[in-house]
Amino acid sequence: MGEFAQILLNAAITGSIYLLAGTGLTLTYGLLRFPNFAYAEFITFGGYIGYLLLQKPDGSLPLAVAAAFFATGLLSLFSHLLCFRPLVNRRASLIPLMVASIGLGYIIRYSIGEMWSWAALSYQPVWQAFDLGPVRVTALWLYLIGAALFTGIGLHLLLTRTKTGKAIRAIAGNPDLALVSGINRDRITFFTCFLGAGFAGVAGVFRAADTQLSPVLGWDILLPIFAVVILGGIGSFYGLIMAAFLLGLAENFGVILLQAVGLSTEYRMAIAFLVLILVLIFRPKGLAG
Amino acid sequence: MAKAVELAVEEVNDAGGVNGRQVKLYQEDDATDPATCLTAIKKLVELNDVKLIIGSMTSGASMTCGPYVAERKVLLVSPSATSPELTGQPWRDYYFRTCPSDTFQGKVMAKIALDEGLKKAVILAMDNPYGTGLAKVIESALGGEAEVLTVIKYDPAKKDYLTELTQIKNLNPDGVFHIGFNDDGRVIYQQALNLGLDKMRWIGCDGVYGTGMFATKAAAEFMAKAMVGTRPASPEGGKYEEFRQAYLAKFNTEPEVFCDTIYDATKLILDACAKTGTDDPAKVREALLSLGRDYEGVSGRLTFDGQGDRISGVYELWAVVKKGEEYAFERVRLIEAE
Repeated sequence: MGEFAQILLNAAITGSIYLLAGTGLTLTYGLLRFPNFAYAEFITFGGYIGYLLLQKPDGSLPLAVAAAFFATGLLSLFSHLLCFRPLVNRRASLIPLMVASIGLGYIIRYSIGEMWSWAALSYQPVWQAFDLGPVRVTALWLYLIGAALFTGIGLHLLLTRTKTGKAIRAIAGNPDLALVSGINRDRITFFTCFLGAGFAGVAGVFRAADTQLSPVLGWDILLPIFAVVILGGIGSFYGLIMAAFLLGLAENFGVILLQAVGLSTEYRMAIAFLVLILVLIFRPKGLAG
Repeated sequence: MAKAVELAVEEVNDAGGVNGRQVKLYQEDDATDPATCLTAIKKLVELNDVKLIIGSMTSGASMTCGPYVAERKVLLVSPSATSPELTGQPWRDYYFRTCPSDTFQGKVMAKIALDEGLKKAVILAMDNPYGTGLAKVIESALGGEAEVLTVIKYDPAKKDYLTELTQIKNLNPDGVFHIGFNDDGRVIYQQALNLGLDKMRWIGCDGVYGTGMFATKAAAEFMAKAMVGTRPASPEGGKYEEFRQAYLAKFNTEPEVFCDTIYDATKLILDACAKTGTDDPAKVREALLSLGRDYEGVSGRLTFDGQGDRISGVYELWAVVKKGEEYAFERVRLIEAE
């Protein structure tokens, strides 16, 4: 029983990272209709901003999270203004936008590598750990799950209770109708770019704190994040929440399965994708489709 | 490491050379890369007409170059390729090594566990020849005296091991053998500390040795609390001390790891040339096999088996200690393995 609880907690940790990182990806897809690959580097960038504040043992995690949120949000806003918006205005199709986002990602990744070095870095605080019944938890994990819950509930309220949120849903649902009904599409897009990337930056801080920091931090987890986004039904926030935890569970139970049959745990990604394929066969538009 | 070869060659030349001639040393950099190494060896053999080579430095490069030297019938003596997988290769006729295979390190790791009275163990190994090779040796060396609950193979590039470590937590062994490198080790020990796995004994290997581990404070703390480990070491005193003094006098720095085995490789080759009065690789090979019986080298007593593998090794048992705010590796004792 206790074994099960610890695995559920692991799934929640993995799922929380995916949720934070995937939120921006799925929301901006809803607005701009292209998968923004630079999100991998937004995650990484957030991790490095966090490092500025957490390279000392007494660094403050909340401060690092806040800094990463704003800095990454701004980075995304700039990249939208300088790169994606001009392309969208020239009616660029999916492929050029996607390739542009990959290129932008490379620029950010290599800039980070040159500025901070390519070697792995570590946050210096050692997180306090304690036993909750049969489960071992650290303060870091509680913060992470808390942040994911806060994001989930906050975004739910935003999307359903505020004008801005309703406008985001309106554009995602029917862009032309939204335009003629007087919604300022630019303003909504700026807001979403900032917010979504901000959460990705926060995901970067938590990922780096739980493992280590390197210029490929985001790139390494981009594939499962895309899987989560697609599994949830790309563009759908509620599907994303379900998918994040489903994939977290699949990966964590998958490792146990792999191990039981004597395979290396590096195949865990294969299990996640097996789940993805199975779901898509029965629900081609994802869980929320 | 090349400096130790220069030292050996200089000593021999100062004493009049071999068979009345001075020894000429050619040097190429193999960059520990198999392809670079093969190019370098081809150049030495085809262009410089070299017949006796000290190298390759790594097991991977040895795998690539072994078949070539066997075909050309030139002799390769490696001071530092430790993979057990090199044992029993079909091209082994012209390939020796003066370092012990990791088989011995695995035996030492198992012995440490048994000495501490561990009964139930988990092996956590990176999924590559080094990791799976050592894991196999440890499992068989435990010989049922301690039960191996499971062997977990992981991807060293993945850098998130919470699930693997949770499994260890759930199996609740007395001890964990870990075969990894610095990069993955840091993450594993940080996450193991978070999961409270510092209550069990962890036994590491040479791959996780190095002050680079302390870049992550949580990893350093974990190692100080829970870990001991092994690594190939030079013997203390005796011929090694003479070598160390000579090396210090000439280069003004301490000899590094494998400097002793590369010095022995050089001396053994030159002794074999002197014994046979030629530099013909086929004859030198025979002479090496007969010289390599209880040979008193600077790296300890050296005996080759029939295919040119060393059959004993000296290992250090290390631990991590905290001194004030700093962490450091400390030698517990030396262990000789046969």
